[in-house]
Amino acid sequence: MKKHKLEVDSIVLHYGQKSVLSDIYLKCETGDIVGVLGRNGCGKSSLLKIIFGSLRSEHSSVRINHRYTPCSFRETNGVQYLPQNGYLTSASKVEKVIKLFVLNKDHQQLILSDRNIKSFRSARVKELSTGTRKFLEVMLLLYSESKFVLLDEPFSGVSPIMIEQLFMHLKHQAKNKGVIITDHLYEHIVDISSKLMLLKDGRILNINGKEDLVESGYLMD
Amino acid sequence: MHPLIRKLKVILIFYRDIVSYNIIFTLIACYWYFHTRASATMPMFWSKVLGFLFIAYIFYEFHKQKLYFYHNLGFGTKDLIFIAVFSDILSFTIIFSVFRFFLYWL
Repeated sequence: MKKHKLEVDSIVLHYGQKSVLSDIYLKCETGDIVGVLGRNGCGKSSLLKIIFGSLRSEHSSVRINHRYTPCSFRETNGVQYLPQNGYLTSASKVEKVIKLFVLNKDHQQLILSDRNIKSFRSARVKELSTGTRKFLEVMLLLYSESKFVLLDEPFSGVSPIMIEQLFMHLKHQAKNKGVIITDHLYEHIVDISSKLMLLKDGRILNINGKEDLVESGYLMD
Repeated sequence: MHPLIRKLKVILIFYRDIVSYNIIFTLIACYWYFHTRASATMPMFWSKVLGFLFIAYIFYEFHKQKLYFYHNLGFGTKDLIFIAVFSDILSFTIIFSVFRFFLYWL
């Protein structure tokens, strides 16, 4: 399998006078699960949106396989993004969106036969509970053809059993794509990530474990 | 699914999102034409422009989250604007032609 590389550097973002992101560098390759932690309002979502291409920053350089891309979601099978509040349109039918996002027939069947989804296959997205909807949205991105997936709070509002299932699918699909993930349930992020980073004062710090999180002030002693 | 069919499906989903507003402003333009005939060109043009701006405002203000759905399927904002303008012109041409045809025979 070909290994793909996503590199992001020189990201600078201000909201008014406040510097949110300054000179960020981040790298994600096929097989990586990069966990990004940080306090509320530190710029995690903005960073993911800039990588995705839906938010313009004063300066940014996003490259896929060493090729500069101004809008990574427009690249063929480039980058997909799970925003905090989801992305599926309420009126769409579950089965139809699965077939739209997931092209591999075996993967379509895998999602359609999932115990959380199968009873809703002919329902509309608006009929799903918050947790099931989020579960479906993550599954669609994980089993799509994209090289990289950006997940912004994929576990919020999801029941513990579904989180365990998502863990399994994340680990499985990370063999085929690169994942950048952020969530306030930091223990899940620490458990699943192959690389861990902390966004603090607009800069990225490499983290090696919980001790570093305490030392950097993200967790209490 | 063939990539072209996939794209067409996404365009249809987007068209479904805007078609109701589209038709409302097309019917307003037709109504204008019915009452003023030859002098209706400019008011019709502006009613369509205003209608389009209204649709864009509604989409950005109340359905901004939906953009991620299209972005995740590879469609940028400019693509969506192009689709909206093209589908608006197409549907207007069809509806207005039918309207004029009936008006001529009545």
